[in-house]
Amino acid sequence: MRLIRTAVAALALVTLAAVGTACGEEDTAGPKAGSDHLPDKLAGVELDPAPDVTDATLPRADDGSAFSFVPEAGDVQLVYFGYTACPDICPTTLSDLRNALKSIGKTAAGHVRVAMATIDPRRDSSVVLSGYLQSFFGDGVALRTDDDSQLQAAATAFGATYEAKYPNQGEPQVSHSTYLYAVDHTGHVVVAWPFGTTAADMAHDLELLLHREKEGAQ
Amino acid sequence: MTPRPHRARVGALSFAVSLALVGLPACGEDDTASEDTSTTESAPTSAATETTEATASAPTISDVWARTSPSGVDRGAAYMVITGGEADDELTGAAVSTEIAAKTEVHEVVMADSSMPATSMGGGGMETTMPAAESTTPSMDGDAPATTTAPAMEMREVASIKIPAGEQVALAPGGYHVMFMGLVKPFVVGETFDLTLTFAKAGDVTVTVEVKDAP
Ligand SMILES: [Cu+2]
Repeated sequence: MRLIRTAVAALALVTLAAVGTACGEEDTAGPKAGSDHLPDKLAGVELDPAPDVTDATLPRADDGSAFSFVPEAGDVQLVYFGYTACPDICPTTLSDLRNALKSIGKTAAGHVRVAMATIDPRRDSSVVLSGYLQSFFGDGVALRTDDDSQLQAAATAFGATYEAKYPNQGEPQVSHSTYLYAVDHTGHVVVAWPFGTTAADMAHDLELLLHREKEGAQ
Repeated sequence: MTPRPHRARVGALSFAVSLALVGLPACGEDDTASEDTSTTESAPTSAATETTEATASAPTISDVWARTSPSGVDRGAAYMVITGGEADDELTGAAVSTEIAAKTEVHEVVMADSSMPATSMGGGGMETTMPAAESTTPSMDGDAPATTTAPAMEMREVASIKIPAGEQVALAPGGYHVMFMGLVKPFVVGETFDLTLTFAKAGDVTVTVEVKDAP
């Protein structure tokens, strides 16, 4: 069962490495395949340059207020672009993240914020989206807009892509990039986890990022 | 995975080879056509001459589970490992009671590279609408515009999944899944329900699906 996910992740990485060689992604090829990462090295993908999402914003699904992706110093903001009618990729990633947060303990997990933006606002009402996210993370922040240019702007800031086609009949066709992004207090995407990243790798990276945040705060 | 008699392996192999040579159309929607082909092709193989074909050649299914469905979501997915029987077979369908879901399909998740939206291709409108993108996409336009863009994935229905004799095929997240649409009620941890899988040769096989948070 793990094999396929690893294979998909590996494929994703290969794809990334193939297009990214020019940008010096020297550490994408090495440590990703295994689970034993150096303590001071991130297991996920470090985008180069790290996307700056300081100016990106999306409305919260609950009250419509503008949500900033930049966490307070000492915290890490995780961001996922997905949709609730996705029964495979999205819940797999969110469930792995839930396990990762469990494994790093309550105190550390208290410094990790989770937000999910729907790329399928036609079908994801605010209520559905919030309920979906909060079934994984009690204090997760659901983000939703009907303004596609606003959604595109936010997604592009992260380097995320999506496409939702709604045929007159039959199932909507939705495709989306499947990275889970981590943003530090400077507003940069410091690591991105491809689909298939294990909970252990996410936990490893979260501990490392929180440690860096702590050191930076001193 | 299971140790198998040499003879059967050879039969399966030649079967696979003959399939490849014939160029069996991948997953035609009409079951009759592909069944005809399969029957014709499998006749000469040793596996197909077994008299107990119906049971001995049936694929076996293990580790069947479905993920809990979050509140408000009327879709779900089930996963399993299918081990091929004596002969090559194909999973051609899946069904559950209408008390569980309105519709059941076999799906796969694939890279959506061919249908990348304009954003990832450096489409013109982007720069003007995106103040935040300045430090990412435009700066990458020169040598490798796609570097900061994650590969996209999508799921789609498949007409069939090949189950080669004696081989394990995993239905797992990111690959194949049995997809349920129009769930009558959410999947709750610990619950079980019956799922009927239809194979081109082995016919219907009913398995029990257990609802879990993770595999
Ligand atoms: Cu599906």
